Parts: sequence; structure tokens; C-alpha cells
Amino acid sequence: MKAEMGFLENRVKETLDKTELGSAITGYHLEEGQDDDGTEFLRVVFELANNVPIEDEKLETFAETIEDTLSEIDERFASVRFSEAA
Amino acid sequence: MSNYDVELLDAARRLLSRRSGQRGKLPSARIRRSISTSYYAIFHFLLEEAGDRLIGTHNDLRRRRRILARTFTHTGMKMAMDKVRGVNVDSSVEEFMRWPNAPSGSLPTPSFAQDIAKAFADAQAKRHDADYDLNKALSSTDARLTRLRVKRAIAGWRNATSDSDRDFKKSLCILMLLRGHLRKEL
Repeated sequence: MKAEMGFLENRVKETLDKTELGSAITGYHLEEGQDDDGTEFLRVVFELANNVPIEDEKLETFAETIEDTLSEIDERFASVRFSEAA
Repeated sequence: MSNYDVELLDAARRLLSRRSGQRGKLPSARIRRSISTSYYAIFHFLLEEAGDRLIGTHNDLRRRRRILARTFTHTGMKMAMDKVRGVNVDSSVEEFMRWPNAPSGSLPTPSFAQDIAKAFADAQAKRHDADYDLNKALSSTDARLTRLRVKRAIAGWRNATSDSDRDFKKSLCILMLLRGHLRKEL
């Protein structure tokens, strides 16, 4: 089952709002991806603020929460990434 | 080739290391190579596990294990891992994966298997972009977290040693060989 991108974005926002990472993340976006074998997945990209230090363990936990949340509503694997400010 | 995964994870770490006083962003090539190397760490770890569990660990069997390893594919392993990525084992393979005498009904996925399946999917998706799509940005944070996750998942697998854990691992290795699919009548 696949969910609408807007619905997925709302779930990401809800999950983000419940975490302590608010000030460390300045934005996010979702996009559809495809492996070379045709397997579809989702890229979920969070933009990290460059002046808010955050431990890797917190980011790991957050990424896995996003994965689990989206896996309940979409069969595509949610690949969570963190982009760093220039 | 024992502990090849450890060597690869060490290489992935060194690609992300900075010299004393070095600042600024790491070169993209090092980030991408690190992600790809972490993926190959988990890929080769699973190949070695399959060889050990399906062929045997004796030194004399090394050549046979390596021949077997050549039959696995990235896609087939992902399809097998996808069957154990959820809280419960996918219904299409649950009877095959069930420990003898375990209760019927939904089969919970052991946490070590779920963790390695998620780490595999994560590393493979990122490795695809790292190796083939330079338009997709990947950060040093992505590379660091991918390596940490792969390392933890492998450690979790190694620490799962009960009889039922070992049985599940062997069944999963067979499923990887079968590219995640059983015939319907099974």
C-alpha cells in the first residue's frame, strides 16, 4: 500500500513536533526514489541547523521513529537522511 | 576473510576521520565511499553468515562457501530481509520461519533480525544514491549514522545465540538464497 505524499508529510511533521529536535531541524522534504532494480523507496530529508549540536544517538532514534511511523502507512522503505547547512 | 565486515567498517570510519585542526565539510567522495563501504560491510557479513550456517565453518569448506556466496544477489537479499523487517514476519514465509513447536498465528520477528533487516534496507537505499546518483546529497552525518547502525545491527545478530535465534538465522539465510520467495505450496 502506498500513501499520498501529502499524508506522509503530515505524519512526518506530527512526529517531528513530538520530539525534542525542533530547533535542530530547520526543514524537511520527502521524495520518491527507485533502486536500480526498480524497488521504490522514500527519501525523507531533514535539514540540520548548523549551530545546534545534537548527539548521533538522538538522530538515530529519531530516524528510526520516522521509519516505523511511515512503515505503518506505506510499504515503501523510508530512507531518512540529514542534510547539513552550507 | 573472517571479520571482513570489521575491516570494512573500520575503512568506513577512516574515510570520515579528520586530521587534527581540519575543519569544514568533508569531500563528497569520502562521504559516498564511506556509505558504500558500510553497506558492503553488512552485505558481506550476511554472505559469511549464510556460508557458515548453510555449508559449515570448517576451513576445508572455504572454497564451497565462496562459491555459494557468488549466488546471492543484492536484490534477492533485500527481498528476503523485507520479509522480516516488520514487527511480525511476513505471512508469506511465516510457516517456513517458525521455530518447531512455536505457537501458530502471527510470528513476531526477533529484534536482532528486525534490526539487521532495517539496517540493510537503510544502507542499501543510501548506497544506491552514494554510488549512482550524484544529484542526491548525502552528508557526513548520513555516513556516520549508517556506519553506526550497521555496526550495531551486526553486533545484535552476533549476540543472539539461543537455539531459536540460531534456527531463525539459518532459515533467514535460506530465504536470502531463495531471494525472499517460497513456492506457494510451502
